[in-house]
Amino acid sequence: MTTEMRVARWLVPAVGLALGLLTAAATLGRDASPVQALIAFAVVAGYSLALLALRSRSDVASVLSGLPRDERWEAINLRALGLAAQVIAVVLLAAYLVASFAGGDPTPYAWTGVVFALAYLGGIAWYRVRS
Amino acid sequence: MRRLREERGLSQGQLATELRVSRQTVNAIETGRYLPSLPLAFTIARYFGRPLEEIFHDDGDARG
Repeated sequence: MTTEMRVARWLVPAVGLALGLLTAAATLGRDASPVQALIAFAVVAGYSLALLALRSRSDVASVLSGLPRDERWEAINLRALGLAAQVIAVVLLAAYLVASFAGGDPTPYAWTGVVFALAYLGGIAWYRVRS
Repeated sequence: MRRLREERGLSQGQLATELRVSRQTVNAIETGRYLPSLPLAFTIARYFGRPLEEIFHDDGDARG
């Protein structure tokens, strides 16, 4: 099984734990209580550990862990990512327009849209050369 | 592919283990919902010892 999206076996849980710690730190930075920080850590890290525990038994958990079980699940994962990207693009555009018309600051949505566009165009350029 | 599998007395899960794919993938191939890649199609053909054309038809259904 090969996939360009393949990650190391322990990368997802390691990233999950790291993100959990960062989330807890950010929560504490907002002057929240240690209990809230602990809950934030538990949610993020717990999700990663749950995937680690379930991925040998569940095709969905395996995909979410970055290790699709076979080529069909790789294809499902790629199509789902494409669908999610299209939804995000529409939501970003809507948020930008709503913020603009409501007199708010649309800049964060604009910058996120720029990153999205650059990633997409970069992906086209990259895979066009490689395939 | 279902007929060949049943001739050998294999369950979908057993065949999936032999082919190193999930049971749902075997089911999807047998019901025509999923077209395997060429490498996987060749693997299936080699496993059953049959030509590729006997297992996979032009209309995309794995009716072998």
